[in-house]
Amino acid sequence: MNKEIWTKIESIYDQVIEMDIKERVRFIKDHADGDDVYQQVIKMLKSDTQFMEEYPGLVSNTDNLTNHEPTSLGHFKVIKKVATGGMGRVYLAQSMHSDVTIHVALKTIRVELTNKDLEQKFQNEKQILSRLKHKNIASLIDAGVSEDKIPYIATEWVEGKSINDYCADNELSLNNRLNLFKQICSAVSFAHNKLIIHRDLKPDNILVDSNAQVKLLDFGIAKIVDESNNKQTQTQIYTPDYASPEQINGELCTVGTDVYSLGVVLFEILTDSKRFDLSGLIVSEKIKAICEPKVLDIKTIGSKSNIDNALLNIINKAMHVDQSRRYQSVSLLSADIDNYINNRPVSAMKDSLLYKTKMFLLRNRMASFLSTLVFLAVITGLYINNQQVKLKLQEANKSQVMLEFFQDILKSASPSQGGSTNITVKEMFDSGIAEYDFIKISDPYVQAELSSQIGQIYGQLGNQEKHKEFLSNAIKYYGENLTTSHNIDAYLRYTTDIGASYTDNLEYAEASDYITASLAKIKDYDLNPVHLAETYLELATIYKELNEFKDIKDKPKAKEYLDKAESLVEGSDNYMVLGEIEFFKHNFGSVSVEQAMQYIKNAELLFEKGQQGKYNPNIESARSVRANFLMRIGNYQAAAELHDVVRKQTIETYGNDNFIGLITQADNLNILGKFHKSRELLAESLTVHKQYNLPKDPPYYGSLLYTAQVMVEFQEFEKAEALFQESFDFFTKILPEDHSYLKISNGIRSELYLKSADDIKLQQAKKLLEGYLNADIKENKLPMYFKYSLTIKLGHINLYFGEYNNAYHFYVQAMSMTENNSSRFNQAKAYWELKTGLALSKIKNGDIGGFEDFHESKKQLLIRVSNDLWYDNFFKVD
Amino acid sequence: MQVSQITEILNKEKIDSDAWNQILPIVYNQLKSIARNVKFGHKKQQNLNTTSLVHEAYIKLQKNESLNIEGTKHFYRLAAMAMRQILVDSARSKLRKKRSKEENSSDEQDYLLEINQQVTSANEIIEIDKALVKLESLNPRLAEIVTNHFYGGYTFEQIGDMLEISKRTVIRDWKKAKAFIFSQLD
Repeated sequence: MNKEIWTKIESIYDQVIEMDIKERVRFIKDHADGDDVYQQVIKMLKSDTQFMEEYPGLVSNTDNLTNHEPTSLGHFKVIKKVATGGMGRVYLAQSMHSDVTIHVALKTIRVELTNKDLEQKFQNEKQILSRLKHKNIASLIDAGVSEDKIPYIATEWVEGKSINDYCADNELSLNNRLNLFKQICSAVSFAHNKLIIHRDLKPDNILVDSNAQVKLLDFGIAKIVDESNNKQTQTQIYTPDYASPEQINGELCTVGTDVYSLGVVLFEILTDSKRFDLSGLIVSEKIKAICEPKVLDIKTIGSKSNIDNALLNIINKAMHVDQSRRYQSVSLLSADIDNYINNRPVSAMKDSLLYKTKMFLLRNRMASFLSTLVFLAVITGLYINNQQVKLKLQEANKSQVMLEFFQDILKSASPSQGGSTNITVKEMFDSGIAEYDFIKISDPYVQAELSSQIGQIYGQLGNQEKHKEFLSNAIKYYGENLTTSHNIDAYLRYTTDIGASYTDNLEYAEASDYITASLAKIKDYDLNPVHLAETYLELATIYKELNEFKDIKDKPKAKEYLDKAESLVEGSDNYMVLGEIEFFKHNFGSVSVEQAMQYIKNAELLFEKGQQGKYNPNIESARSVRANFLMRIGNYQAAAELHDVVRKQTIETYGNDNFIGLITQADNLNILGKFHKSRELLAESLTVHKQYNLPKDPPYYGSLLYTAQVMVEFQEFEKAEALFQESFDFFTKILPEDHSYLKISNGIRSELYLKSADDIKLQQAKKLLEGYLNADIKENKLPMYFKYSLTIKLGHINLYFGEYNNAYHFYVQAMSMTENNSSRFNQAKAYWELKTGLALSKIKNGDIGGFEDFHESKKQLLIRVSNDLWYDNFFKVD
Repeated sequence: MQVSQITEILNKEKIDSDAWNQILPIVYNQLKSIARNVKFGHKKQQNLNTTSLVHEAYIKLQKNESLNIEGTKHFYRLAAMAMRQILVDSARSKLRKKRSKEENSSDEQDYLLEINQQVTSANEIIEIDKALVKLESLNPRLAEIVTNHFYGGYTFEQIGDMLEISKRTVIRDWKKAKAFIFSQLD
């Protein structure tokens, strides 16, 4: 068997497999050219057990099955047979009366018109059907009875594919499929208005031509067949897969019959699969399958198909076993499809809040993005909150609707539900939907509960303003109703949250005032010690930050609140709060770096202990702070490893687009000299920032600084300068003048002037940096890692200006710092910059013995920087 | 070859036949060793079947490196090919040993043959494979569908996904392919 022969075999096989078993052999005989093709197709068909059962010993005895084929019917000349269906055969034929060749589809009907009455009826139907002129209905051309008493119907010949094949083969979009379906509806509806019911709607009767025009075939023919046959044979006419329960039960066909079949068709064209797989079932099972169908739900269909809940509701309504529960007309079904396409609520859908919300969002094309970061945080948050709401609502026996609403959101937000009409909580909240529908609740308690939930979600979404607004609404109610322990506790907890919200906005004084005032209000009540400890921790944070940013010497207060918090939870098993307290301790100035890191490690252990299998972001933030500490003491390798752990965990939890994760990693790579990768991540971080509408907060401006720094390495000085300025402006606004961050920022910026060879600005920067170092000799306030890089930079700048002696002096000073820190500094690019600079300044100062050192160091440096152009040129012996 | 290299190849949109042939033996050996572990290792109670085997191999691979959607599809296709090879090799070796009347040596072959629960006779496996080789030359897509469904144990839906064709087409093709294979068995 070669490929050519196989192609013939396949083509014949593909055609006969679709045919009625009785027709197959004939067809194969007619089309197989050559015995090997014939034998092979027959052999393959043998594996079709049905075929075998029907015709045992077929292969040897095929000739018995020869069938009489007419050559003409009425005034039509048969060209070829094209199909065999339940009712009869279909031929391609052509009129012998007309001068022009008009192709028609000629159907013979498998009935015997035994008396004049029936023949008259047939003629009546012909009259009725001939009036059915619609662009989506194949029109009737003629009908009659042949000399052999075979009734036939001639209709317009339609060249096209069945709708299901058309949709699947062209991989049509959901909307295109729905629009085709609407064409069907319009045709069926038109016929219904003329009191004609199709009765046998199925994909095979719905063709789509090359202009994407739908053509319905066989309108009303089922009725003719129906009435001219006796009752016993009736059910066999219908294709059971599409027949309505009333047809199966031999009851009267109505408009609802077509509505039902349209439901089946809709299902099949949307899913590319069969609604009922009746093959292999015996009759009673088929009847059962059709007449007692389970209502489809989204789970059984699987998330892959085009169908979402709204469409499923439409299908379920159309296919309801009870006719009176179906759409009362095809136009109503079509209208609901319209609703769906235009993102209006469909009538079939329960009138649930969630559904309206979804549609509201889609209609307004709100936020079509999904923030994985926020999404997961919210989901976790919602889940927990939801459980709480559940308990509370049960307790109060109120508003079951609200509970369901939250659960619905949760469901729709679950990744397994993914689909075009599913929205994320973020999208929902971004659209302001929270206010849109829930807030119209009359019960103030439920309203307060929901307000606080919504407020917290806004917090997790990074919308501080709304966070505060909703929490304030809620807390107002609790404050006025300090009657139950629940309300008192809620008041306390949201006090902390609102305080934290001020803190996040860097409004420390406001934060502290707010919390202190609120605490005074409930001081006489019995307060939950854990929640109170959290409030104290927040106060401690506020005073720490006050000290850091605005230079208020208020650290004792931070310590005082921390101690208060600790005494409340000490010895308890509340590991999360204990961890946070431990973690906080690293902030105090009296603590050495090693000790700080120990605190953080302790905190990590406590968090792990308290985590109980659930993911806890505290661990990751503790780890990332520890990694920053490692970086600060120059242990870049360990820092990189730890950052990597954090990054992996973050990706695992939040996906690959965590803003903070990206910039931290980018900075780390920059320090390691991997500029390309660093730049890539920074670009990504900015995309993420924009995409998710994240707030322009300190981390954002920090990322601008990092980006500028990397741009310098790529010689994009102008862009870098703009970013430096933007970042610097922001930080000067919120930080005291001599805050070390501003110094760091200027230090980094000096590289721009060095690398762009801007002599004037570089001179200014040089003075500035020298000033920092001198001031530090007195106060000793600069972080060591910064002092180190500052010193190296001054070395470079002096080298640039030809002040080799000064350069040498700075390099030596920086080198002495590495000695104190033994191996810690020697991993990164900065160390080799230093060694190269030192060797070069020695040579420039006339020490010829430095050559070997210089070449070796420079080699090491160039390996470590991914963009070595500047470095290669800068460190040069003329 | 390192795991990362394998995933790198799998994650490509198109894999040339050289690269394909390079990783096939690796997956082949991996599946075999997992099967051996399942059968003779601690997890004896576990049910040995193609799907669980392939899935376990997938998890192992996915543990360290991440396969993208393409990579996953490629992996599953590859695993089915490897499964087929494993079964055919085992069947051959079993028959060879039967012919040379070696005693007690077909343990490994037996357990490997057990993996595919549809066919257990070594003869049948080899016959089917012969038909499949023939089909490959006539219509590679049909052969691939058989490999994926019969050896990989994947559902029609999964196969449709992998080959980017509709489930209906897969079922139609599967029926046709099955008909062809049966027509070749006598």
